[in-house]
Amino acid sequence: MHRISTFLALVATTFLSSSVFGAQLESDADLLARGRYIATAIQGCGCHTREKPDGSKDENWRYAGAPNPAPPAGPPPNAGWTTPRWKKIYARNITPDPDTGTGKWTETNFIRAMRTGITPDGRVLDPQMPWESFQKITDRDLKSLWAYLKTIKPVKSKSPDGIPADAK
Amino acid sequence: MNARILKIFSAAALSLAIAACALNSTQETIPADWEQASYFERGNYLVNHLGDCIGCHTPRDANNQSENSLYLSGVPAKYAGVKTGPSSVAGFPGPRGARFYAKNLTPDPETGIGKWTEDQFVKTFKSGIKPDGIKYALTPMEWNIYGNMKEEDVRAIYRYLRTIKPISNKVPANIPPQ
Repeated sequence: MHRISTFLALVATTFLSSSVFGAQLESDADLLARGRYIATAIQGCGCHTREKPDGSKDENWRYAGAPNPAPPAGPPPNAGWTTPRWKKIYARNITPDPDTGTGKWTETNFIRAMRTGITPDGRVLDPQMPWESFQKITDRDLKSLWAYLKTIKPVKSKSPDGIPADAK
Repeated sequence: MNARILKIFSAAALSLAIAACALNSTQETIPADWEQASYFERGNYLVNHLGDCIGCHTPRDANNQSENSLYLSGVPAKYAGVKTGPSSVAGFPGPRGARFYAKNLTPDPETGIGKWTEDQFVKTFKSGIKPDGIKYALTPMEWNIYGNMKEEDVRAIYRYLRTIKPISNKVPANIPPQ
């Protein structure tokens, strides 16, 4: 009898975990595959990859942000954007390099930055980084994208600091 | 008793399954991986959130805020010839003096994608080649990435775009590299 109830409990657990709690228990491999799909088909985070002179993305610097020093003019991923708050603002390194990228970020840090623009060091990102649009990306898709970004090649490259609009 | 309950349950489950199949044959099959319940909702999610199409294709005011009355209608015609300013005004700078302008994605027949069929839209996304046979330039619109999009996601985007307000706006023509 004991053995049967153990068996039944096991069956029930398996059933519950695979159906009711399926979303939470999705495997890391599934998350990663979806994250790769998002990054390579839907949301390429293209602003974070500098361009070559012919206008194509420079894959050696994929996700590494603007060059430092940045050129005075050119496509925004290289030369930065001008916004009401910034004379120049540059895309950051989002590769997992621990010192110049997001290597020390946690998934929670990433999701907060994507939804509120607030980085782990307390900066508020300019809405040029479209966190206002990203607010409604689902938890699942953000976790997937983060799972993928953690696996890309870390590139050491400190993107230039922004120049505020009121800078002399 | 138990057997009878089981029988009733089985019958109920079977009829539910049959009903579900019947429903599916008249409605669209929603891909299992979607968290959205329809093509419209998926398209809305991709255009406004995950893919952020609005970021480039909706004009912005002087405060860099999206001008929702011009939703997805591309760089306004009145800015043709303007060489400085944000990409929502002066286009994206490309190599050797090139400038690329975000296009009108509304269903306006003359200046938007009103005359495009769903299959033309899918083919354009997959290949980067417009229905008129001209290949899009290498621009911030990353065709090499969007070509990897699953067909059902592209169809969802198209179906969503068909529902938005048509706006007549002839986007300035791209300036090719000199």
